[in-house]
Amino acid sequence: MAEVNKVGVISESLEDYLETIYLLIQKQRFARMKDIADDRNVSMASVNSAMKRLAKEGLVEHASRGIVLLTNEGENLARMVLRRHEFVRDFLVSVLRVPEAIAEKDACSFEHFMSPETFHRMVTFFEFITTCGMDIQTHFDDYRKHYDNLEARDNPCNHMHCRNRFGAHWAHARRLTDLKPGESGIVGRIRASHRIRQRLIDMGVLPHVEVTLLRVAPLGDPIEIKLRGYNLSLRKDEASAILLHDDTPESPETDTESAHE
Amino acid sequence: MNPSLSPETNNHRTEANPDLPLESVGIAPSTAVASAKPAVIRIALAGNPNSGKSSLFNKLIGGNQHVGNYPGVTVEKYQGCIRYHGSVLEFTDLPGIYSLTSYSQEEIVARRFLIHDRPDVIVNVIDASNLERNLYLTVQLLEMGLNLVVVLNMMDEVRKKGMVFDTDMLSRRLGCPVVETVASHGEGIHRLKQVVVEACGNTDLPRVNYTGVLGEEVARLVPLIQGKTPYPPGFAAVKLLEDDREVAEEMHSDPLFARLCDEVAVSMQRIEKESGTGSAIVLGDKRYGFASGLVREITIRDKEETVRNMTETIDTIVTHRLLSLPFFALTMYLTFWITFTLGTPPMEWIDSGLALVSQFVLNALPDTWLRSLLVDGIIAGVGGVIVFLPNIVLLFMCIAFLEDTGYMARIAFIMDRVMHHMGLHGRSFIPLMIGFGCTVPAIMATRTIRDRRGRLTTMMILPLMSCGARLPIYLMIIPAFFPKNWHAPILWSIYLLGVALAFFVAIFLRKTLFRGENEPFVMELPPYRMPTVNMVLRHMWDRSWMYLRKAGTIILGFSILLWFLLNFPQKKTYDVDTLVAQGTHPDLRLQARVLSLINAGQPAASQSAVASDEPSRNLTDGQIENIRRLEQLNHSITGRIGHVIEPLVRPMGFDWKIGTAFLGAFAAKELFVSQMGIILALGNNDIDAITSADSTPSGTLLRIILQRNYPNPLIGICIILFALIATPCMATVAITAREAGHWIWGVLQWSGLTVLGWLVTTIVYQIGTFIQSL
Repeated sequence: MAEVNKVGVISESLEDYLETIYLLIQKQRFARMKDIADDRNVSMASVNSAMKRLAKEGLVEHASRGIVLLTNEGENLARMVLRRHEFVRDFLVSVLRVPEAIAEKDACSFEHFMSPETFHRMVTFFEFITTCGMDIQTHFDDYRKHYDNLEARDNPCNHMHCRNRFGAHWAHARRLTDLKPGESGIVGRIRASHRIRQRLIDMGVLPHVEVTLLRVAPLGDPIEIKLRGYNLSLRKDEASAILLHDDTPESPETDTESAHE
Repeated sequence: MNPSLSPETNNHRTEANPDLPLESVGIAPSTAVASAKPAVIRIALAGNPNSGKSSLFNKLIGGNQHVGNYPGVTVEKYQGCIRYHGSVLEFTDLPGIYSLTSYSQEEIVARRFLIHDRPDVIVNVIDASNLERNLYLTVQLLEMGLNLVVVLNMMDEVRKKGMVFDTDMLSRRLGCPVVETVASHGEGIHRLKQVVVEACGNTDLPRVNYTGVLGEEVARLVPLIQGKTPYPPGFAAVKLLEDDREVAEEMHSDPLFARLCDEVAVSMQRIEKESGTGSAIVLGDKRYGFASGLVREITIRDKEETVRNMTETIDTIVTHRLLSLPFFALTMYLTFWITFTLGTPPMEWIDSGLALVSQFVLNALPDTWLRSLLVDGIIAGVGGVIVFLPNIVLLFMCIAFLEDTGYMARIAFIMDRVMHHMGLHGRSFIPLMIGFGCTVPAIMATRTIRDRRGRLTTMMILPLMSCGARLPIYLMIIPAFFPKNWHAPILWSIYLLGVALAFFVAIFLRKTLFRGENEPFVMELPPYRMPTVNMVLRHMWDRSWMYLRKAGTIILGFSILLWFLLNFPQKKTYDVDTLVAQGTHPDLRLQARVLSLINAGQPAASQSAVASDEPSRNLTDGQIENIRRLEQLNHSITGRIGHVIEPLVRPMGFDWKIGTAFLGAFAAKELFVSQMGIILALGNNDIDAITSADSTPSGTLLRIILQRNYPNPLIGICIILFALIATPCMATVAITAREAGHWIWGVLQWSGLTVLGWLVTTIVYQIGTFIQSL
């Protein structure tokens, strides 16, 4: 882990872009601007400007028809960022017993902000506790058991693309799926892929709108909500992307009498 | 007041900009009537799904509709013309849409049509009982700078709720004429026609101007876009801010595209900084803000809270945790019963009608190849086409009913969990269910699936739902090879195996061929409504006609081709006649002789065994005739192909006879039984007995012969397996090709399933023989 000291050459979002390009190339052998935009869930315009900046740093090259290539330097940097990400994630999971999904998300932010020193110490520490004597190992096992009993909040972060990075305020916000049948809430944020978000917007699911959970389908998956005077059904996948204002009182004056048996 | 908007929402908006979020300027065009009307006025109907658009369309054109496809896609395009006061009104019913994004095929189609075909007037149909959400689309249509006439449909429901709207106010605020209608009763239709004609040629179109930072940024982008896209620059600017890929791609070749991208990015950042959220949300907020403001403004009297909401009441039962599934099962059972049980008598009438016609032709014409073409090729082919008609008519009656009442959306809601595991939408359930009856109407029923990839996947796996025509094969094979108490379990497992395979194939397809992000399951659950008889009938008629016109021709073509393959080259002299003329073997031993001739070298032990069982029975004319048919089959192209492909079917444990019978079964699965009968040279009566699957002594003859020919029950399993999985019948392939929009899908379905069938059967046979050899 010696190549760590290159951190900070480019901004974190550019590092994320590099990672995305690297992974796309691994997966499908090329990366188009469009794929990058889809993957990172940003606009073509932002991709365009990011690529320009990366090209200026000599990390990427443009080929024809919107295809982006990594230069040698770019590839090395991407691999390094990736390795660092994986290490931090493993550290969080195996040492601190952070649930996989949260670890993934935290690794996304740590990887950019951590100084090379801290990173180095973490590596040493990790090596130390995994290779040293029995004693410390037993202590850690106890520690692990303790944390394994704690229920982890499901917190998906779609791999290292950090799709869901958002402010601390929203980190523990209630989701639409947390409502019980008959309860209402006010939409706060929508953190979904572009396609789903646009669809939700078109159906009127927007910040400050009141939604009431009417019922959950008999087999437990799609849910039915009421908003703007009509009924809409969503899968839980999509509904969990809708965060509610935390301070929302459960408004009893809602206009629906819902059916919950 | 609109109940779903909290006070907080309003505060938020007024904070951002004190005026109404949107301003529309422009005069209601009814006053500005152009003097010269064109001879043909082209009108497009646009609106949300469930807004009663199709029923309005039907009332407007009164039956003279024409169904086609939009170029390049399988979205249906309904058009119709009427004469009205000296001009011709040409209506186009656009697909039902909620928005104008590039994420769904329907929306792209509608958008392109509005821009490239430039209709003179756009009639925006609005469900007046759900104004706010419907007006969201209206705002977008206004963004496109179109000549709009707004229709407030379903006014009866509004009145029933005790609500009153100020239509004049709505017209003034939108800057376009507004007409109230009740399409199901024909109310307001005449007035709508009149308003549409008056609105035609109106040049003073309403415009949408956004206020605040959004407006500034749009204004900044417009000059950069001007002249680079067929879309109006204002609309294109808004779409770029929503990150619309399609609009961006259209300008990709422009030399200044990179700069435009930069500018859009700057605008997005600025909007985000000002408002704290992304530009797509800001736009959505503005449009909905305008819509809800408008609703508040035009509502004179709001709904009376005492009116019991019927939809809620029904939903508490039909989507109840415990009651919903039995209710759904009952609905499915009824649909199935109506489609297939009620459909059987008409199918029998069709059959006997065709039998009469064939008999007539048989009597009227001499025995030539022409007669054979007429009877076995064309009449049988036409029969093969129309025999599905009763099922299709009845099924689509049920589907139209379920769709129009609104229960179809609930079915998707209830079953989505199950189908989601297969990567499919809840709407795929009904087609798959219908597939157990017959694959052809089932494939037509996939139309209710909106997502294209999901729909194609459903079509591809549908033949794995074991259809009714495969039952005779199972009924022949299973008793021939297995003891009685095994019959039911084997029959069950074959159906279950089909479902299991469908499950895995669907997952496989979604991971490979139809890979991609799932269509978001964001589905409106419309209020329950009573469907009108008119609409249900129209739906039935449309489907049946489309089936006849589109699939019918292919099926007929296939039938004639298959007839040719079975009858050519023709055998001039039959061995059996020679032998009879020699007078050597006037009994069943002759049959064995002929069969051994055909088998050329293979020992005819099994056949002689049959013969020696009944040495005294002389050959009837019918049996001799059948031996001739066998010889002809052996001599024909099909028979030759059967011999050629024998090495291919060997690994599955089949010989050329079974292979040839499967070739014939391409016409229709149940033909496998009669083909097998011909190949094993049975008498006519025997074949009839077997086809009707009874258990009279002669009915069991084929089974006995089968058993003697193929003593290994493993072969029986292999036949069933191959019949289940491989080679969907030609009607299925034809309808798949038509419904999917390209023949390649039919070919893919056929070859994919055949390869799968071959693999599964081969594995089973090889492992089976290995175990048996232990």
